[in-house]
Amino acid sequence: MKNILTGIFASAVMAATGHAALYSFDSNATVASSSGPSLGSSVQIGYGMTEEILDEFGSDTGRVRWVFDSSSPDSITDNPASYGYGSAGSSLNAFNQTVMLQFTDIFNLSTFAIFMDESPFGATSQVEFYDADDNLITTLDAFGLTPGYQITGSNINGVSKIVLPAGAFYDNMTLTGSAVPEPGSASLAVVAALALASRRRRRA
Amino acid sequence: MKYNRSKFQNSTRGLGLAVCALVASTLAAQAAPTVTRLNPPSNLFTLGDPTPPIIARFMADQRFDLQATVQADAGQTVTSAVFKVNGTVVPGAVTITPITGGAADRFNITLRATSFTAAGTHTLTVEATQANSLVATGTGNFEIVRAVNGGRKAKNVIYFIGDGMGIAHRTAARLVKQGSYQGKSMGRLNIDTMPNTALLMTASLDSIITDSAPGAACYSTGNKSNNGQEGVFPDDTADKWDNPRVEHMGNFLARTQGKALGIITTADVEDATPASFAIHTQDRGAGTGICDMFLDEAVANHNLRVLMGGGRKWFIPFGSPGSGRVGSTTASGGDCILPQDLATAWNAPVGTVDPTRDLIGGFTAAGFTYAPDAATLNNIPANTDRLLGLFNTGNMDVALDKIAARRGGPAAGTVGTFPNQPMLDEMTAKAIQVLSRNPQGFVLMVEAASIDKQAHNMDTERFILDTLELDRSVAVGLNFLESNPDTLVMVTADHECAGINIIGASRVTNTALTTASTSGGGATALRDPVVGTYESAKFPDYNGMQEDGYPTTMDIDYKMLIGYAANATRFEDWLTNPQPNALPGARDTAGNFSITGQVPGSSAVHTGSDIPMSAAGRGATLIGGVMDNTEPFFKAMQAVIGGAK
Repeated sequence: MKNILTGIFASAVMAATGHAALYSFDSNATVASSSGPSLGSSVQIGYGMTEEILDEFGSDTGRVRWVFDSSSPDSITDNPASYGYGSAGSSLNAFNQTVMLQFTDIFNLSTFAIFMDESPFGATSQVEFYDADDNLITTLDAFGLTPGYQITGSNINGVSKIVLPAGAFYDNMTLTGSAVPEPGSASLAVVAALALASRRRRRA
Repeated sequence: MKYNRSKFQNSTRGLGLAVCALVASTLAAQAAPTVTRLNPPSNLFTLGDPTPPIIARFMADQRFDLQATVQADAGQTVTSAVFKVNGTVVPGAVTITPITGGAADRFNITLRATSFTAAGTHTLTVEATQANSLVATGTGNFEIVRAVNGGRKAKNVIYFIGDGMGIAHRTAARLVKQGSYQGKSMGRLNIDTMPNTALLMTASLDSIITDSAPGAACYSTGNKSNNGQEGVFPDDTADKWDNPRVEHMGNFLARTQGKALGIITTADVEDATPASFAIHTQDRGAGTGICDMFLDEAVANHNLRVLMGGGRKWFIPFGSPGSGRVGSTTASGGDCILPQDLATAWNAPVGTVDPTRDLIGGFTAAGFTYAPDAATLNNIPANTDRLLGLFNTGNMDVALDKIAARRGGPAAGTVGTFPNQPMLDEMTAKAIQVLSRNPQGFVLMVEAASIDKQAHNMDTERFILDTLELDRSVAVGLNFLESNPDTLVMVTADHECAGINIIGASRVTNTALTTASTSGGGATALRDPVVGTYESAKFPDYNGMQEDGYPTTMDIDYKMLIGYAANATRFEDWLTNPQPNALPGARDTAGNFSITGQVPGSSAVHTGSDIPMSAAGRGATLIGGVMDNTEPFFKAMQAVIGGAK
């Protein structure tokens, strides 16, 4: 029994250690992770839009969810200098439209950080974090008028989507955190471990 | 000596009473100073009510001035003052200036060009200290609005303003342009095709009946103004230029997004609506200073790249024929000198009294192409980046008279003096051509000014054709939207003018009406047999539009008839007036049909009814329901900053 708990405890420790990823937006077609273990294929990044959440009768509930905009350009990186929004390079282009990050798994983010462009243009807005049910978890201020402003946050749990404000370029995003295991899979793991422990006792 | 207790007590009591009286009178003379005005305005300060509606609202980062008027005690001065928001001192220089004129011992306290980023309602407090250490305090509130993340941004914003254009003005124009038969309109105005509609409440800061200054400044600043005032809150000084300012949309978006600004009108460019998109003054009539401010501030700080309309008189040196420039800051049409604290904070030149200034030369030196007429306008180079068009010394002529002249008819109004004035749709096309060269996008205001001016004059045919002129301009905007879907187009008014409505149609032919108009028969000849109401009105048919987009004539058989609920006394013969702007009491007299006005004077007036707004394009879905007229500013900002569908 002690071995199973240990095993389980060891798994929990590994999950709590989690992952870290740096996104430098150097390439266009896919988001390049330039250092450290990535968060895996568990994050998609693209242009976002809102759509109304309807009830079971098809009526508007007054709530919206963020979805990827299939009509927007595929390219999400560009050169800020060509827009007059800072020095040359390749950055995440949210100039014309909100950008959304969607995690396949639910993530508990230990830290979040991203830089805004180095131009004096922009607006005061906010990065939004949503759970799997499209409920707003929290926001972080984005002071776009401050050149090179870094948006930072920590300990944001249950994140399914992150929404970055339009009207800016972004770069060097770092995420650390861990996926939240599915409740069903956790229960199965415990049952399997107990079953294994029981079989070992009978043998003994 | 035996001590006389009684006498001592009496004398002591008397001395004590005297001392008390002296102290009381001294305290009375030291009554506490009071704050008699606090800007931004609020119901909290004025009424003690902190609850919504919050009167003053600003976008995050939108700049505005804080101002207070303090009534000090007699002979006292205010030596220091501080503004606090939510208990925290607002950083920045506080200027204290004695107010001359009016009640004595008043002081103007200002802190210029501040801004805030935290969304929500904030409490504003001023603490002003007298030389004798007594403190006056005042408390108000304001709201900061942040754009939320909304998806795709709008790159361009186009406001079309039909000055004075209420619901009935649009209906009348539709009836003329399209006609109606068996209950169905045979077509739509271009405005009618815009999918989103709202009703706007139009009250100004100081009245249920607004004028055009606050009626336009609300769209440009998101805030109310007093009648006659543009881009400012009221204060207690006589100075036309020192009022607490609110940053205009064009200034804000030039500063934060690099957008360009265009202002075009069929009025004098000094007029209230165009000026309310770039100017800050408490005197809408200060034409010299207003036009100077277009160059000195709007070009420099708002990225103003297109300015067109009438009003050439303000741009040519005093002494030149037709010049209207004046050499005074206090006279009507006055020039502009800014207080130093304002100039510094808003990065504007202080200015000088310069009646001989060549303002056209100033604009051309700043890189503007100058067009004095339609021919020049139509031939500006395709790579024109900046455009100044001044097509009349005063207001431009109205559509009816411009079209008549183009068709070879008589030159009414000032068409004879200015024979080559463009139509508003031509001006709109050129404005968009120039502004769309800016890669960051633009804000454009297009005003059909004489819907209002002709409605004031109760000139039915001229206000209707000016509405058609606006509608043709809207077509230009919607055409641009089709190929530039990241554009928000809004069509509205500043207020309704004259209480116009369609009362029926003539039951007689134009020939019969013409005969009646000279009969001197009064109501017996021109009302009772003429005015067809209900089913007698039938369906007036203006026989379609000519190729130029306007009817062949407005004097058709069985023509539509317009009534004026906010009318001044006028003679009415239902026929097109040969000249514009003839006094209502001096024209159409041969028919002797006098209609008594409900308002004094010789001009119909603005009314307080809600006005329609139509919207199309990026963010148009944010427009809807019944809104305050400050709300479209915030909807446009949401679309431009945060994005929208």
